[in-house]
Amino acid sequence: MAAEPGTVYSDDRSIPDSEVLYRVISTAHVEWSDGSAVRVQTNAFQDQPESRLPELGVPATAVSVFLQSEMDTSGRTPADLCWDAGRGVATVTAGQVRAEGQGVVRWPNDSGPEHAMIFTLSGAKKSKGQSKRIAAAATVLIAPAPPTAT
Amino acid sequence: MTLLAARHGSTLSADEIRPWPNLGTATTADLLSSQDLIDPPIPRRRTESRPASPIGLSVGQVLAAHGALLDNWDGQGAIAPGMTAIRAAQGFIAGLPSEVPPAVSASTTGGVLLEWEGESVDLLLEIGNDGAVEALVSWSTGTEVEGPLAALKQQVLDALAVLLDDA
Repeated sequence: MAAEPGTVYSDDRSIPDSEVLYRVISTAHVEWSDGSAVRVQTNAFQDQPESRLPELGVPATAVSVFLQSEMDTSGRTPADLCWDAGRGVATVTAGQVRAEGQGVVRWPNDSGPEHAMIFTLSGAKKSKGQSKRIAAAATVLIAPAPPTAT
Repeated sequence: MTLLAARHGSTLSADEIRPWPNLGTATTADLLSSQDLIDPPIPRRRTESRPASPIGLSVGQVLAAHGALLDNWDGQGAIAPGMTAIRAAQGFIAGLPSEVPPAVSASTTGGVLLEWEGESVDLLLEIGNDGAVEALVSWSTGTEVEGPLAALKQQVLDALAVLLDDA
């Protein structure tokens, strides 16, 4: 059993509510209609599986994002986060995720100094309602490749 | 069930009724059977129209088209949906009238998510690859319940009945 996120991560209040968080999304994170991205689905903001934490190098479950302010500093663009055509980027603000009982913590790693994580302040993982409402608040900035056969 | 099916212009054959995991011998038809008595006076709200899922495709086909049948499909450690979850999701969808197709997606933990959005209620079922099913029912009034399906059976039935009425 992994530690509860709220016991190992702290909400970084130096990240303002207005901070834009870039979330790398996949084709399977999007609801599609005739090849067009309709909306971000709930699974885009589900926490990582606990069993994957050791290889991900994090102590508790969370959702990976990138901070716009840090991206501006490093000079990378949202498109730079898409390592292949199957990836896109969705945006949500720190204030929107905090409104759902989440914290945001800076977590620079191999993917970049801009990397951060959205974690639940209470409980072992995000509730379905929290993930659903954060997804509903998110906007598709760069759509990933559409599904191959739908 | 008969009343429900007639009201919505569809019928379920015995072949379409699949066993539902974690509910003993209950089937999708069992789950739906009490809906005939349910017609809660829920305030209506207008929402954007939502495109139907490709109901003609199987759950496995949808997930395959989305590139979600391999481990790490999200590039961030997600577990590929297992056959137990895929079969259970397919069975549940097959047991529903086609007027209420859900959006199908993979969960990060190897399960399948079925999501419905209606004018009055949203319903989400997460079918785990261990057979466990969890539900989230969100009414437009702000009422929300979340937990194991076995504990929320009536609320899920209520939501499905309203989604059918809205369809």
